[in-house]
Amino acid sequence: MDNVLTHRVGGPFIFVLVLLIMSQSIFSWATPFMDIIDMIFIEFGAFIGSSLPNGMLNNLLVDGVIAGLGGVVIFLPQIIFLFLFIYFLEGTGYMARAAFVMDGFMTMVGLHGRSVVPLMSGFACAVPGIMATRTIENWRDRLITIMILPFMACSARLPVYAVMIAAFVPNKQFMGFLTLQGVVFFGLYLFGIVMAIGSAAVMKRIFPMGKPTPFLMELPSYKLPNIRLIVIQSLERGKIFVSEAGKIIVAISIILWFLASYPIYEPTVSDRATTDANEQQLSDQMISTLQLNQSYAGTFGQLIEPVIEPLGFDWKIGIGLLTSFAAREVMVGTLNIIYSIEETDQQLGLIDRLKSEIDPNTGLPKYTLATTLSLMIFFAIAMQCMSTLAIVKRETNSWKWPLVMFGYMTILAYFSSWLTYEFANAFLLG
Amino acid sequence: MSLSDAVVQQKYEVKQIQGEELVRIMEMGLTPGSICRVIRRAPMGYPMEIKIRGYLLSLRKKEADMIEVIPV
Repeated sequence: MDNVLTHRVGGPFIFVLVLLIMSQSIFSWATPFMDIIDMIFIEFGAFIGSSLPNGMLNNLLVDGVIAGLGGVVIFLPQIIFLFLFIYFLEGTGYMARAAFVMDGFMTMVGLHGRSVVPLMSGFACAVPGIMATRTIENWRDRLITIMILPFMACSARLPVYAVMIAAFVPNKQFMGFLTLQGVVFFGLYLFGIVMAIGSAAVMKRIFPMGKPTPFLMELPSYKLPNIRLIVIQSLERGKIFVSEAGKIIVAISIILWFLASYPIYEPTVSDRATTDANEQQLSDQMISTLQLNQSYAGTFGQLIEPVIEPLGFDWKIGIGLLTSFAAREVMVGTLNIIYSIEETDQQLGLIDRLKSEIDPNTGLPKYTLATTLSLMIFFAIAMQCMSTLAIVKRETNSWKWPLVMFGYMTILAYFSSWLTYEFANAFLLG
Repeated sequence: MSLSDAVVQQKYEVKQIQGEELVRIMEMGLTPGSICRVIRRAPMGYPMEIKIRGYLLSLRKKEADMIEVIPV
């Protein structure tokens, strides 16, 4: 069996195939469960929202606590499926072979053979990926793997990339059979991998070597794993995620909810008066827009406008950046609210709305290709995921590493976006 | 010769081990006098897989360099 699985040419090929099947299964098996969880939390929120009297407590419970809890629990199916796979592969003895096959390449870029599986699962979500780094024995290798893992383009970036690309990248043919949109999409994934490898190489030099532990790994004989044990271990991981990361995520959700909801906007008579009864829907949407704009989050967005202006962002994107710290995909929802998109046909509505946004100073379209590229680069790099930070805190057992991670990724994102914006303005639109 | 120069499928006897981490290596059963066989090498040459004392062990170039062997 080893003649096939660790074959010089066939080995890496089989390994990539195993990973592909794994990611695809996690993705497609977890989606129905995630949809159910999402629905339960929305229904539960609506139920609480309608059964309690309106007021601050109601809002806090529905938009703060329940929405925050939902944001935690929704990761659970992915985490459990990933660990079922990992413990299964570990149990059969294949994991050691995968590390054996990939170690040569991974040491070249400063990592360990065992880093490969966590990094690849980072394409689905960084949270289970970081939890999976436990299979790396050497602490330094494990830490570097954790620190670069969020560069892998996770599924939460997908909606943001999709909206931005659909709105601003022309759907032209590229090299005959590809489309320009597809190429940009692939490029963003590749960009994440390059950033990860580059950062790993830098960190390898920065981090203290410590005592190098020799790489001596037993290749256990192949055996059928104990299914009961696999299930128990996977559920245990899920439990740890909800109880440990959950606490932090819920706390930050509540803070973000507060920032976006206060001070409360009082609709003036003129707002209501201009609206016909059949435009009530639109009017509610406008009120939530105005609410967000003058909330603490909105004020903060306008406050940081000078800082993010060199990147080509305005304060509206600033609000989006702030709220998307809760989770990247929230960006799309926030932009929806800011640009008062009607509930129906959200994606299409937002894309058209973004396209037609005009810069009041120049009269030209505000979202140029340069701004879009800059924003996508920012999203590709920046550490905008409190779930990831929470799990890093849990896995490294200190606040130091999540803070370092947040710091270096934000700085890196800022300068990369700035460079992208300047470069795009100078050469693409010139 | 060192184990890193060993040929696949050939049997070797461990002569001696030098270097900082020799205890860890000897703990894995690579003691002077023991017989090992090189099973295969990974796609980029290392790590290499050896059979020693009835089980399979993989080690990197750095560890293999520390182990002096003679062909059996």
